[in-house]
Amino acid sequence: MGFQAQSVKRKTMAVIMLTSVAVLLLTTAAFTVYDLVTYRQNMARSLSGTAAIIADHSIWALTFRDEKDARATLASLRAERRIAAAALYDVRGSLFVWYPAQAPVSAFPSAPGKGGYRFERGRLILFEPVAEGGTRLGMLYLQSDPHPLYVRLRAYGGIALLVLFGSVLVALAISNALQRQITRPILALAEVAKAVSERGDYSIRAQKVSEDETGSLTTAFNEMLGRIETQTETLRQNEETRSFLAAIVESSDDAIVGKDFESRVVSWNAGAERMFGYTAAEMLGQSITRLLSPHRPEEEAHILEDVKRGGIRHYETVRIGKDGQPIEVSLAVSPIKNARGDILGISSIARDITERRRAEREVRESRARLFGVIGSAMDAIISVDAGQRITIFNQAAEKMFRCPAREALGQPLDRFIPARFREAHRGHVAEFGRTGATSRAMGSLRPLSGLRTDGEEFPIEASISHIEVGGQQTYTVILRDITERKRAEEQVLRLNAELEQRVQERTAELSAANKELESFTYSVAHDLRAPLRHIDAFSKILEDDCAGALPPQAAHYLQNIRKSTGKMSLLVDDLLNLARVGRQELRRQTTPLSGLVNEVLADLQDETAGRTLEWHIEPLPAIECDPGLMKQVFANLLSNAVKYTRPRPVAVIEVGYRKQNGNSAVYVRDNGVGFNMKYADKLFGVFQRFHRSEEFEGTGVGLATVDRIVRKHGGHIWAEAAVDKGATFYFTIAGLEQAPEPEQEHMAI
Amino acid sequence: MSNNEVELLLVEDDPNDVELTLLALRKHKLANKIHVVRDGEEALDFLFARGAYAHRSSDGPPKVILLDLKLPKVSGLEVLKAIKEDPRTKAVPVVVMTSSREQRDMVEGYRLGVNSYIQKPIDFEQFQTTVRDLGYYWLVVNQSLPPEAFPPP
Repeated sequence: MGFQAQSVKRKTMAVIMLTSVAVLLLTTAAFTVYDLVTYRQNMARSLSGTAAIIADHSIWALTFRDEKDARATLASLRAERRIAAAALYDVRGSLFVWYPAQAPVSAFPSAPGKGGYRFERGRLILFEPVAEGGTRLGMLYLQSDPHPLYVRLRAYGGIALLVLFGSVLVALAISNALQRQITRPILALAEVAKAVSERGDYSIRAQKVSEDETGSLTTAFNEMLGRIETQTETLRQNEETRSFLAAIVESSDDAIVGKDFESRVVSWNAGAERMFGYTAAEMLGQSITRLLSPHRPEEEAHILEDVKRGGIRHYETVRIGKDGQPIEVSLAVSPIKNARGDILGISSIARDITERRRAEREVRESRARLFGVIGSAMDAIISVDAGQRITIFNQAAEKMFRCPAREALGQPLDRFIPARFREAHRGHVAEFGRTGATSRAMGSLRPLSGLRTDGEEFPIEASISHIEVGGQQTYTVILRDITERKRAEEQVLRLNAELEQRVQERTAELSAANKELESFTYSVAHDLRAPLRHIDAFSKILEDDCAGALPPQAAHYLQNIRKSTGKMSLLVDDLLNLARVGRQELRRQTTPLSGLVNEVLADLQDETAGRTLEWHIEPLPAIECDPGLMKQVFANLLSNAVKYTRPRPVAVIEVGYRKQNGNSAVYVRDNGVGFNMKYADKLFGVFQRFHRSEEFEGTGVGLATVDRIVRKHGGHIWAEAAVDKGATFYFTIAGLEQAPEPEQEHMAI
Repeated sequence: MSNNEVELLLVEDDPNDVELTLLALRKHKLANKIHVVRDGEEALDFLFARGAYAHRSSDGPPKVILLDLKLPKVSGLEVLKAIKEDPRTKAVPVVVMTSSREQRDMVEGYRLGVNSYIQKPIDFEQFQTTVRDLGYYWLVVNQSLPPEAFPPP
């Protein structure tokens, strides 16, 4: 851990400690150097004295080259413990004697140096000339022992170490106590700073504990925190505002595009992506010109010019989407300014108005159509506002009221209503408004009258509708001039009355004719039958009473007369029956047809006596019919079947009921002589006979009667036959289809 | 009971029918006490002893009346109505004999209280049989109310 990374506390302590130690070391060093220098000087002075003594003592020996004496002189140095070695050089500079004697010659300089002393490796080297009266005799060399110097130095070192150690301990204790005064506020500041930086909480404040620079620092720090807090809040609010605005921009359906003055896109929202089809990545940094319509090349330049002049400008123009389709847009273009009012770029908000334009066109077209319809309507169409002022007055209205639209518009409706109806009319409209109904159809309003400009009154029929648009009540009446219709209606009524009169007259005539017919048939019934009876009776009496008096020829003629009367009476009876069927009212009741068939079979028993007949009678349904008349149908058809099967050894007659393709028919089938189908259309005519009366008796009225009865019952009858192959008569009557199925049981008689 | 007491009153306008009816009755010996009137008015005069028949006031009513419907002056149904409405004649059996096959006549006849309704058969033999049967029935078989039981005219 480097020093820079150490805590302030440690740094402070280190500073104090290092300072103390350095001062101490410097002091110690200074003392040591001073002492050493002093000691050396003292030693040099002391040794110089010694050297001068020795030199003086050696003058002799050198003058006389007395080695022994010289050596003795040097040997006296033994008392001086500080001298480690000594030598005497002669005048020529040669080593003469040396001390200690046992030391090797090589330990001494080979030639004497200049006079004076010097220190060499802790030793004092001293050359002292030996002279006598100005005559130089030689040179004395002394070399001190280094030991005392080292001892002294060691002692100093030890003391210095001890002092240092003690000083450090003391300094440590003192600095530890003192540094708190300095570091505590700083540490507190640091704690606050840490808390602020860790928690981002700028509301924390450091406590001021001293009035020194640290105190100032704390104050400044707190002030700074306050400013930061304010600014942070402002920033946060700004950020919120920005996010809010960004969200608005992003969520807008409008395309919001920022661009610079070179028309390069700098922002491109989701709305723009959707509207134009380009993604933001495709557009950012790109020129906006790719969206421009090739038909309006100058447009962007104009917009830029306008924007530079300031303010928000609105345009409606066309842009080209990525797919190449034109998009009608409304543009709001405005400069983007910073706080100082410098224009930074351009904001362009585009709204897709293709739909709106289309809707506007539709509204215009719809209005045009509506006015076309109103204009060409045959009925007068008049709209009034809540104040009863006319707002629409079409051509038909102009014609109807003989008043041009320009004179009618804005006028009260009253001028077209006869004075005596005006009050009532207002009441009607108000009442209609109150009912909440939106329309009332023609004819549902009371008969009304209109008033033409020339004063003519005329009847009208009106429908009224009511709409409320934007709080404005509008009533629209559609009026129809019914003068002509009224006239026509009156005419129809008159004609109807005349017709009614005529019908009554005719009905009276008809009922008179009917009465006449009835009395005629009554007469026929009564008056025609009586002579017949009489002819027959007197013929019979003649036959019985005068038989012997008459020739055989006469008897034959009498028989013919009676046959003819019999035939004629049948004919009269049948004709009367046919007439009665024609005018008789149906008396309908639910009748089981099988029961009728059985009754007819019973009636036929006399006719069928002695013959072989096979009857195949299927059950028939019960239906609503006139039982008396319906019995006649079966009586006719079955007696015909019996009659026309007379030549057959075994007559086979079937009665049944067939449901086929939703049609139901009752049929009577026989295996008789049949008839040729080419006469089928004559079959049901009156007096139509297919056989000579010698073969098969009959009046030719029976099937005509059957046909009339079946038709009166809402049905029809037809036949299928072939000569000698039998005949089948089918008939339907109303209600037969709906009749419940009869129980299937085979009846044979 | 006088000798000229009438047992059967025949009301018939047609002489042929009168002749044929009498012929049939005579053949079966039933025509002894028959009186024939030729229209409705005469029939009522006879029954109620009026006009030409005022002298009959003491005579009782006939045992049976054979009544044709189509009559001059007063119709058969009107005669029937008068007979059945009058307490003096109400109990006298009336047999309608007619050529008509009109159902409404039959309905009206029964409504007015006719005792029998017969359609004259065209075949003379049948006619004879019919006349014989009804003469025999009403004059012989049927027990008539004694004249004393009738209220005086």
